[in-house]
Amino acid sequence: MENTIEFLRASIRLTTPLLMAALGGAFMQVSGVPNVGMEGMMLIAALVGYIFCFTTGSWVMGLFFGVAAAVIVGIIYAIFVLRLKADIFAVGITLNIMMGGIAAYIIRRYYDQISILLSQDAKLLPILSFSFLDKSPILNLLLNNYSLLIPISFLLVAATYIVFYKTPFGFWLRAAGSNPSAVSASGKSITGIRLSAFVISAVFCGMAGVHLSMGYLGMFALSLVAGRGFIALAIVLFGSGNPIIVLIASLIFGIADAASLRIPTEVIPPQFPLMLPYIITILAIILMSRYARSFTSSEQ
Amino acid sequence: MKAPHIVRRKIVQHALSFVSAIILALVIGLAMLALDGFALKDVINSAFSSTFASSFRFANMVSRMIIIILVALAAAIPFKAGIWNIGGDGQLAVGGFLTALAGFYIIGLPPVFHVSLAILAGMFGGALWASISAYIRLKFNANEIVTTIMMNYLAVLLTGYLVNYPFRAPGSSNAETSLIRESAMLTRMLPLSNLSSGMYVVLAAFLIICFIDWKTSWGYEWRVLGANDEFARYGGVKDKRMRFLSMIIGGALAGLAGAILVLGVNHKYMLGMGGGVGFTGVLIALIAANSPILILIVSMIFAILQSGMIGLESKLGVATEYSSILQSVIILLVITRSQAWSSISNLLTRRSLHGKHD
Repeated sequence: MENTIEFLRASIRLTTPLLMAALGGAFMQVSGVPNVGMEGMMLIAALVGYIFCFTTGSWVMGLFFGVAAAVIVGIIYAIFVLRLKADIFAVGITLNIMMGGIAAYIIRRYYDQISILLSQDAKLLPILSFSFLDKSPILNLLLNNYSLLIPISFLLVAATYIVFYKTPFGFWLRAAGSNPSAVSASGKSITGIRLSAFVISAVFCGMAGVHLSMGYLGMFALSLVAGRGFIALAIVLFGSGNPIIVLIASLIFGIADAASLRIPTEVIPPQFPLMLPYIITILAIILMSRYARSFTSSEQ
Repeated sequence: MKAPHIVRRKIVQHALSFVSAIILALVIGLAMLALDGFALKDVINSAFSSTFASSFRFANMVSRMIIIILVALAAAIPFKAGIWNIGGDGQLAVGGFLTALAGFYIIGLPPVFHVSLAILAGMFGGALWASISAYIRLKFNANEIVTTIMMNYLAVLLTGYLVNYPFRAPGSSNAETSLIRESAMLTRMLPLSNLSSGMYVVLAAFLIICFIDWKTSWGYEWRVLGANDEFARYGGVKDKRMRFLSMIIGGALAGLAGAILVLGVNHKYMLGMGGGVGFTGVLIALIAANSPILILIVSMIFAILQSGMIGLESKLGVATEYSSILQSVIILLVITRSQAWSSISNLLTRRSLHGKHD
């Protein structure tokens, strides 16, 4: 029982970074620009957030500056893609590599570390506990006392859904993706709509990165994102940006992630369980493509 | 035959903007280090001396360069055919691992055959790993950027398991295979340096790729596919087969890079021996995929940059990853240079027009 609860909690903890990033990715995806730079945005936010949370001793500063760092990357990404008309995949991949370089440079130069950064003074994201959940022991064990961004990430699913499908902004966002010429014809600026998608996407990826260092791990490591930016991209492609499908896919990955960490290494060498999220990503993207193909062919 | 004036001007403009982008990136890179409190004199001195100060260091730079050329081609050939290969690191790892096995378990062959077999094993491993992503892309139309990156992580985990458990060198405290047999080792061109006779293998591979690119229908079909696949299909290009082929060749080249690292440098497979060089290859492919000669030039520049970083690391404590920042800046400047160039020349012509009006 206790094991099951702990497993479910770990799954929820590990769902958040993917869910957050993938929701952000969805904003760009529906507006017609896939976000290939999520890996780099998450990494730089995780680093900057962590540095601020132990130098200022305030998690608010960490969260703010971590997200701000990701937004700067997002704006640079947008300038190259929207203004300078560079290929979105090329710029995204280049920015990821650049962020890896910047992170390694900073921890080496200022903290004399090669791959990880850990400080006693780090003020991590607060743990939320709701007194109204205390009454039911099961709910309390399962749903209470999570790091700040975990409940927020699930609330953002609803928020994203409402923005996409119930607001004028969401309407224009989706129109920019599905029918850009109609949007231009009606006098709206595609560039402006997409720029806002870049920024929102960067905010979400920034929070995902901050959660990894200041919520989940309690430290920074160069390998902490570990392909999650691309897994999130796969999730976005899988659900074509639909926040509900993004939620379901992220939960599946969170469960796989949690499972991969809990299989005892005496039974199976640790490498095999760790392969799980990557294999599921490949399977998911195959599945999505089959579905997408049958979908488009039935439309014709 | 003389090229028309307008074409020559285009080529000159192309080259000029390319060179100025690289110089600008270097200036930015140096300025950032200077702003961060490093003395420029020390930076330049240590970078220069770790690359050119002795034949030993120069040989190590060349050894780095041949690996970069291979991974750049590994990304560039599929790229040219309109399919991404970000999986160079995984292909290099699998290729290197199989090479190490062939180097250790095959006994009693004369060196020439042993080395050839081990290299073929590496190329096979790389091609095999690439073929998985290629198959998934071409059969299911699944995004190959995602799958090749996932295959990188899987390659690290799989070879990590293999060198930690079944194939771990007896008594070794590290995750690595046993030393390969003497008959499989490539001759070092300079004692103790990383440069081996593998450089001739790379030269041969490079020339073969140039030949395919310039003189065969494959090269032509890849170009057409990358430029416009509707048109290519209409013209009778078997698009899936050609893309698959381009990916296999790319994977084989990355596997060859792994083989050279094992046979010529480390003499065993070590986890993480590629050091993420596959991404350097992807960066180069982004700006140089159209021309093997350009790949050669950019690979040389990047190899010099990375060698220079070793000096900065040991003397000034700058992380070697700084070179990936510089390389990324170069790429961003180069891919946007035509936009930037045209807006600059627009600005200039506008100003000169204004001058006439005044």
